[in-house]
Amino acid sequence: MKQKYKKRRMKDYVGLLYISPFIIGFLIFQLYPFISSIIYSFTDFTMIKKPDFVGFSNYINMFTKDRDFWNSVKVTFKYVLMAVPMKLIFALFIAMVLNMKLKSINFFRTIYYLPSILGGSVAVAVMWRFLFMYDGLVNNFLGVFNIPPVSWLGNPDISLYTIGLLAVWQFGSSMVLFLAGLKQIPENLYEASAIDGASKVKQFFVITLPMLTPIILFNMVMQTISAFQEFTGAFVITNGGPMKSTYLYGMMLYDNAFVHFKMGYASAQSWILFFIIVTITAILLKSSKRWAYYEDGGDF
Amino acid sequence: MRTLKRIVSLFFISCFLLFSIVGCGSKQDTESSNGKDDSTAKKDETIELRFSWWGGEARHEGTLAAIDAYMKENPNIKIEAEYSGWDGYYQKLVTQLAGQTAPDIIQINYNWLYDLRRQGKFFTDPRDLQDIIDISGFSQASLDAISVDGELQGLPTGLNAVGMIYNKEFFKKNNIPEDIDYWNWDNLIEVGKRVHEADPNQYLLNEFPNSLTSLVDMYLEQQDKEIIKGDFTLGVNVDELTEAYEYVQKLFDNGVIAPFEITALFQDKTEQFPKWLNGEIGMFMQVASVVPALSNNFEVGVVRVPLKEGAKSSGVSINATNIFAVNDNGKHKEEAAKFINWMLNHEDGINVLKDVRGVQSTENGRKILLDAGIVNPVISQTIDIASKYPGETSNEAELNSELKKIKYQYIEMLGYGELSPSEAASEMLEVLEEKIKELQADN
Repeated sequence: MKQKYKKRRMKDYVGLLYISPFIIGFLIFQLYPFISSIIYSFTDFTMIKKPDFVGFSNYINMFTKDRDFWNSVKVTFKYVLMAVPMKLIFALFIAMVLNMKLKSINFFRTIYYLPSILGGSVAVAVMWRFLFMYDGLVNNFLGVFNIPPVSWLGNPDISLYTIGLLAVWQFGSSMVLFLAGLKQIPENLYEASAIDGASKVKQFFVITLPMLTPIILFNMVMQTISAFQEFTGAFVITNGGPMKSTYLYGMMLYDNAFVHFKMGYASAQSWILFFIIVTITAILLKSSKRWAYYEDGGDF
Repeated sequence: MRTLKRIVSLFFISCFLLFSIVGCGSKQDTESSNGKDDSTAKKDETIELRFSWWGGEARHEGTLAAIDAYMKENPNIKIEAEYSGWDGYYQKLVTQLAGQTAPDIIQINYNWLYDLRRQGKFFTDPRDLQDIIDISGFSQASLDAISVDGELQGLPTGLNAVGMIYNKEFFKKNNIPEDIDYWNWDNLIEVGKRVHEADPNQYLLNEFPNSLTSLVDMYLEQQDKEIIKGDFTLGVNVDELTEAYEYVQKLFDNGVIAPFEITALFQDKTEQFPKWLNGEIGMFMQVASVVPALSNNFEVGVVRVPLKEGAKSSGVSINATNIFAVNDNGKHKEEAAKFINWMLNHEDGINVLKDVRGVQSTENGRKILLDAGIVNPVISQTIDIASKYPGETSNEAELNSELKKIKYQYIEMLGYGELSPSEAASEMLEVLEEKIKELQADN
């Protein structure tokens, strides 16, 4: 018995060794910053000066004194509520199109995935600026139809949506998941409903959508988490402006940490962001019991 | 079979671990031997220096040429260039300073000096390296401007000042006199209005939110007022600030200044600013060093800033910009100092670098370039105008990043029409006062 136990332990070590590159990376680059940021959040750490313990004052100041904080929370929620549904709807739409049995459909699937390979990179963000600036391509195009130019990025009421569009444009990963989900829906459901006289629209709402709910849930959770952390677009394109209309939470964090050197304060803010994300994710998962449909009962 | 698998896998893992240990070890070895080299300093051994700066194309080319020339003269020195645009340079630098991975020679900006020095000592006072760097050619004023509490932070590479840089074609087309002393705050509005009425696409003036903030400071300084005084107290009351903001409002209302909706996106990216490139902007207040970037498409000139009659100060200060600093944590401080000395004082260095960092800050440097006819006439004219109409140098309170941000925010809200001048003035003073209290509590 003892021999067997020892053998099993040995096996565990081998496994651990295999994943050691990841474990080491995780410990150094994720767990360590994660824990140290809790500690720093109770200090006035400036990256360089020796940190002094300041108790909860970072957290208290954030909620009571900081004028930017509530604005950024508002902007970020607005952004998430806009960008995530838009992205999911668009990804689903493209997935449905690409699920059709067309000639050379694989070619189109590759083409449509391209924006996601380019990702939220700085280069793409710069391109976005040139597309949507006042004298940019989009306004020039609208000009052809005699539509007056719109200040896509300069108008505080519109700028956040323009940044959101950049996120929508990177629909690829959600699309691939939707596509996989669509392929798993048994064809006989559609056939049976067609015989019963269901229209295509009806089929979409009573078969496709319910069958896709697990994937919708997964995509929604992942996209919500990343949307809360959005940074590149706002930073490169508008730098949080005009008038803080795109001053996302990530931007505020960055400014406090790297412009004003308030690392302790920024750590505290990042923990609040963490709690916001955890709460929203928990709510999504909890609520999914009511609307996500699993053929196998779906316990997780 | 199983055991075989396990043996093979263990072999690979131990190889991996072995390599990683050996890899780390050998790196340490080279580092420590490098350290030894420094003390024994053999001539044929290579010393690596890292040098970082921000700038535009012309500055990159000039500086790279200087590096090449210096390395040719000093074969034992290898200089690694780390250059970029302005965006993000400061953030990267701060991270490097915190992580102690900053380059040996660092180009820094005058408005970071206080913020940085309050965090720690990062830069070697050039006077500590005086037998290597000759600082006699710099004027005392230019050195004072980049000292924090008497401690010199680096050496200025160029003098820089703002002027109204204008598009010559635009002025001719709109019959605007190219007289250097022409502008005051009243005719700015008159002419601006006329220009915009003649063609709604064109604007006499462009100011991004950050330069408009400076314009307001200038407007107030000409009335002997400043929003925040050097001792961190407020220097204006609500009425005075409201009056200044009302003037700004007039600029927008009369189409003198291009609206933020169109322009603000290109703040700090003037080289890409389409409205300027298309010749639809008459002039804007810019530092002399960006003149080359602004004159790609057409000829530009410079006139002095609008001036109130009888003003004691123009509000324009000559700044010692693009400061070369020696990293206090660097391994090769003396070699770094030698290279800086070569760039700033040696004829070869001056001739290679030319005016890529504004007008040379040493008299000798200016003379060499003037004799060679290299100085961009508009740049030197901007400095001349600024010295003819001087203003006060910026104080610590004016350079504080958080206070600056507040001023910026309210100019934005004013420009976008979110707040009226009186609302902006009273709210801003309140917020500033709050922040000042907080800053004083921190110190």
